[in-house]
Formats: sequence, C-alpha cells, structure tokens
Amino acid sequence: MSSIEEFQQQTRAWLEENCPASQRRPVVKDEQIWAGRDRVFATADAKLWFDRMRDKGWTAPTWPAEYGGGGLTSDEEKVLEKEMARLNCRPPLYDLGLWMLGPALLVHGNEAQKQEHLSKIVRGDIRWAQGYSEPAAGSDLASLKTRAEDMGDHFLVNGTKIWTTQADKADWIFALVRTDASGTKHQGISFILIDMRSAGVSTTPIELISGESEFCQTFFDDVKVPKENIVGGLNNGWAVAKELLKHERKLMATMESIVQREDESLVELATQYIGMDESGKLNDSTIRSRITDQLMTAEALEYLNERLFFQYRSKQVEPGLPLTVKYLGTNAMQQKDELLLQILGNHGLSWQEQSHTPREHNIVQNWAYNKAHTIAGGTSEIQLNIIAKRALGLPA
Amino acid sequence: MVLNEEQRLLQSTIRDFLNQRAPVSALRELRDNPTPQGFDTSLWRELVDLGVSSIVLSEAHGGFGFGWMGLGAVMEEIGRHLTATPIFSSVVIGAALIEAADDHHSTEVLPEVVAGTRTLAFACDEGLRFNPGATATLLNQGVLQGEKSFVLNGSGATDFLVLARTATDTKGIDGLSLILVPRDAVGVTVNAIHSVDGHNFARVKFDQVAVDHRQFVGAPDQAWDFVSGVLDRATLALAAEMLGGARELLERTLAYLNDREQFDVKIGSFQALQHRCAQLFCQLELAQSVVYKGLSAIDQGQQDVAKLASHAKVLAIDCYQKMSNEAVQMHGGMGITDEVDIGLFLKRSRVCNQILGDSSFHRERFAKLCGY
Repeated sequence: MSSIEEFQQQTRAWLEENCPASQRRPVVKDEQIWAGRDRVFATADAKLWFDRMRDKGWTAPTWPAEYGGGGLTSDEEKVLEKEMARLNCRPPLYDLGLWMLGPALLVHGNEAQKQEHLSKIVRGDIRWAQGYSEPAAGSDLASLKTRAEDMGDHFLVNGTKIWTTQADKADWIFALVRTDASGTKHQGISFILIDMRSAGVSTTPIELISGESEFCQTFFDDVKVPKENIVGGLNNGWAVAKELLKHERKLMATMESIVQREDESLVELATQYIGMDESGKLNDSTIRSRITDQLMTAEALEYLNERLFFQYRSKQVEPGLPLTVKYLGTNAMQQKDELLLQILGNHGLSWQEQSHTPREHNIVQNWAYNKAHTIAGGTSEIQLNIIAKRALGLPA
Repeated sequence: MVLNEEQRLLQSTIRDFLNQRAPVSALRELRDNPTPQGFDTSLWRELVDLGVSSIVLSEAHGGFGFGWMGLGAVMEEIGRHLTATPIFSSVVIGAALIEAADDHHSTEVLPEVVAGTRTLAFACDEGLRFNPGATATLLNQGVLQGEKSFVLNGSGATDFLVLARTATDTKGIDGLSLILVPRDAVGVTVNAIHSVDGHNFARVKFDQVAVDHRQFVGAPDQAWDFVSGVLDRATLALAAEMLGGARELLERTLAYLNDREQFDVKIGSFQALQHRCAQLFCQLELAQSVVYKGLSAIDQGQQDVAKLASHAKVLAIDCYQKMSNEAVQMHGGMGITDEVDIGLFLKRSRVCNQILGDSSFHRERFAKLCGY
C-alpha cells in the first residue's frame, strides 16, 4: 500500500471516530465556528470537533507543524478534503486569517511574525479582518489614502477602510496603508497588522440589501501601531497584497462561507414547487431549460477546479486558467440565485421572516446578499481586464 | 485531466505535421478541387503511418496506449487545422464500433481499417437530425430497406455500418442492430454531397439489399447496448475537435486585435473588445474542462460517460458557435471575406453541431439523465 493510501485509510478512520454526528450536516450560519478571543461555540459538539481538529493541526492542514499546522502535502490535503466531504464534515474553523493572512505570512512574514501570529490563527484564538478598500479606493485600490506616518518608535495610522468583513467582531486587522506619498500610487503602500483594541479604532456596521450587516466601515483615528507590524518590508505592501490574491480561490470560498447557507438542490426545489408531468419532466419548460444551463455551468466549474488541481500537482499550470475562476464562479452563483427565486414564485417576495419558511427566507436573503460576489474581491469587470491583459496579451 | 509526457509529444508531432503538410489551405484546395473520396487520400495515408488510425483501440488491435486524452489532443489539432480525414467516421466511430462488438469482424475488418485500406462510415441519421430512437430503416428476413440522410464521410467509404431495426414490433432504441454493408452491394445507392464546410457526407439508399447473418456487427436486436457507449466516447472526441477550432479562432482573433489599428491605436486596446475576448476565453476553458473530464473518465475505466458526453457536446456547440460569430465580427469586413480563413471555421462549427446530436438532443438527454 502506498503511503497516500495509508494516509487515506487512517484519515477516514480518524474522522469517523472523531467527527461528532451533529458536525456531519451542512453548517448553518449560526453554528459556524469563527475564530476569536471571545469565540463561542453553538454546541458542545462544535467545540469538541474544533478542539480535535485543532490538536491535529488540521484547521490549517498544509501549514508547517512548527507553527501549529498539520504539515500535510497538497496530495494529503486533497485526501483530507475528500474524506471530510465524504462524511459531510463541517469546516472546523472560519477565519480570514486562516484563509488569507496566514498564506501571505508564510511567504512574506519574518520569523518573529510567523511565531507570533500563525499558531494563534491555527488555534482560532484571533479573529482577523481585512482592510483593503476605502470609500474612494474600490476597483482603483492602489489609490488608497489611509496613511501610516513614521513617528520614530511607532506608526501613526489615520484614515478609513470600508467593506471590512465583520470588523466589529474582529480582534486584529491586516490592512494596506500609505507609508510614502512621493512615488507612483503602487509604490509607497505597506501591509500592516493592527490590533483592533488599539485606541482610536472604531467600527460601524453597514446595512445591506439582504437586511444583514456583514460588512463594516472601520475608522483609524491617530492609532499607534508598533513598527514591527509591517509585513514584507516598508513600501512593499502591494507585493504582499498580490501574493494574498493568489489565494483567490480560497478567498472566494471565504466570501461564500461568511454567509454560507444550506446549498439548495435546484432539481429538488423545482420538483417540489413546480411539479412534474407523468413522463418525469418539470412542468415549466423554460425553468427546466434554465436548470440545464445552471447545472452545466456549475458542474463544469467543478471540473475546471479539478483540472487546475491536476495542473498544480503536475506543475503544468496554464497561467491564464486560475484567472477565470472568480469571474465564472460568481456569475454562476448569481445565475443559480435568480433561478431559485424564479422557482419560488410569489413565495420569494415576502420580506418578513415569519411569513415564509426558513428555507424560502434563506433563498431570498441569499439572492440579495450574493450580489456582493461580483463586486467584492475585484469586480467582474476588473477580472475581465486582468484576463484580457495577462491571459490574452491584449494591449493596455 | 492533464496530458502526460507521451500525449504532449503526440500532440506536438501531429501539430507539426499538420502545420507542414495540411494547413487550412489544404481544406481550401479540397473544397475547390474535390476528390471522389471526399478527402486527400495521400494525406490520410501519411496520418495512418503516424498511427492515428489505431489510437483509440486496445493494444491488441494495434493501439499505442495513448488513451482518449491522447485522441483528444489529436482531435484538437484536427480542429485547429480543419483537417478533412476519415479519422472520426472510420476510426473513432467505425473501428471503435467493431472493437466494441468483439466478434469475427475484429479479425476480418479491423486490420484493414487500421491500415487505412478500408474506410467505414456510420449510417444512422434518417430525418433532419440525429435521433437513433426513430430509426425506420428495416432489416426483415434478410432484406435491408431504408434511407440514411447524413452519413458522415459517406462519399468515399468502402463500407457502411448501418443502424437498422431488426425487431419489427419495437420502438425507440430497442430492437436495433448494426449491419456491415459494403458500398458495392447490390441495391446501395450513394449520393455524395459537398457540405458547407468543404467536407463531405452522403445520402445513402438501401433498396432491397440482401444481408446475411455474418454481416451483423455484435448481437442482433441489442446493438444499442454497445453502440451508445461508442457514440458517447466519439461525442467527446468531436467536442475536443470543436474546441480545437474554437481555440484557433480565439488565437487568430487576438492576433488580429493586436495588429489592426483604428483611431491611431490597436483595436485590441478597446475595453469593449477586451471584455468580449475575456468572456470567450472563460467559456472556452469551462467547456474544455468538461471535455477533459470526460476523456480522462474513459481512460480511468468509467463505463458510462453518457452525461459527460452530452454535457461536453452542449458546451462545445455553444462555445464554437459563439466564438465563430465573434471572430467574424471582430475581424470586421475581412471576417466576411472568403480570403480570410475565419469563415471556414464558422461553417465547420455548424456542421459539427449536427454530428451525433444537436444542442436540443443533448440538453434533453442531460435533463433526463439528471432526473428532471
């Protein structure tokens, strides 16, 4: 037996032994295990599951063991993902530090920063927020104006960040700030880590069209930040930010999982709400045809991700291919949301929670919330610009 | 879902060969000076010498173990060069049908097909479009009667593999048999047709053709059991060809956008065109992923690829059609001239749409397989 087969058998046995039954159902929003100083567990099982996974380092399976990670190879990680999917195991930990900051620190962080932050992320002790966009710096992110002034023994940060995901619940924030205004706009940006408990940090939630407030605006008013909190060197923040964007797939998984609700089966929902004729066809031919469009896109996206995995593994990555994932995936998601809403008919129109089933409410809220996906993390239009220039070589 | 070393080498060998020996201008030559066979026989001879005629067969029948991913790579090159050969009709469908039937034809017919001395054509479609369940051609008491409307590469085929109804009281895909009928059999009339893409097909009439039991390929009445699997695999190979054509079109269009100037700039700098190209690229890679998924599923021994085949065909149709329309549009006035090759791809895409099932057919089948 090869070592990977052995690993698979051990992993399967361990998960069957250690994943509580209640943690093998699709996770609902209120039961997600978010990192943080004040983290709470919805159930005792959730805590048990988290503790066991954390102790194995499998909250961050591929991070080096010296920082608390699982030390797995990418093939082993794939096995772990497959085995977890097989049992429907819930993710043991939710955190932007886990998905975004950690991988960037592994590349750009100095040893002290890795020692300080990585193991806390693995253990879920600190919840991270991201501070990139500003009210006047969206798609044109590099025009950001939040500044960190060198005061000799510390930086003084002033400005504001917007779309900071759940910053009101975060312990720390990683942010892009201007440390030099003299060069071009991409120069003079630094990547900095700020403790949200620092004096002068405040947050205001933003109410969304979905009725939720997942995002905040965060204000920095004469916030003192230690000089060692710059990652990747002074004025080198754009390179770190780009490294972070390489993890775009995980980043988008992040976007999804923040408000992850139960995944709806289109066919099942349509069968229930529209019904079938005696030959087993849905009674609405237009919706039936649109379901075909949607399933074909969604399944093709799975194959595209699988293909990318094999390309990474055999080190034959077609450089343009990863650039397509965000554009395609977010469009597909919205296409599905529109279809779900159409299937619900007038049951998709009520805004009061008590007047429709939780499932219907969920679909409506999701439909509205998911409009964020083609905007956040680089709009679809920016994605197309990037593809045109980097993958297709069209002129600027 | 990634080509291995041998498959990549195969692809570059075929690409170099076709670039040298049969660029798109070879199709123009065939279109303008058609041969009785409907293809360039010496080109086919050379391709056979390169081993393409046995590529999908087991090693016992002369295959080299390149697998379906390997075939997909070859088909992609054929799609890029618009090469007119019998590979699809005679090998990917014909030889594969005979190998799948696994009877005396494997020794009597297959070697000649692999050697390129015999070419097979699959005679299935009867009406306006592919619909094997509606087969009306009938073999009753040793006499074959019927007419086939769209026999791919039928003009030059030496033999037809005819899908016929042999159990008279059946409907749909039950009660079908596969019959090997030589072109020169008494009662066979071949009406060769030049198709819009410069290739050929034939309308073939079978009038009181005498058939004996040795002409049955595979078990009588139950042919669909093995024919459907062969056609699913062939559909994936066809989708690979179509995406090869689409990819070639994208590359040619990008080259044009990087060259053509208006308003004193390269027109490729216009965002309206950039976004459309980027969307086409995304659509192409999405479809390509389904094709690779299907081809590698066959290589991994997955028996039933019906859903993947229909999925791949639908996305390939949508992609190639959109790509060819956009390529014409983005080439501006040049796009509608015969001098530029783009129109040849445009025409090829529409022919491919009809082969082994159009979009309606495969969308319907996909929905049924998914249970809605």
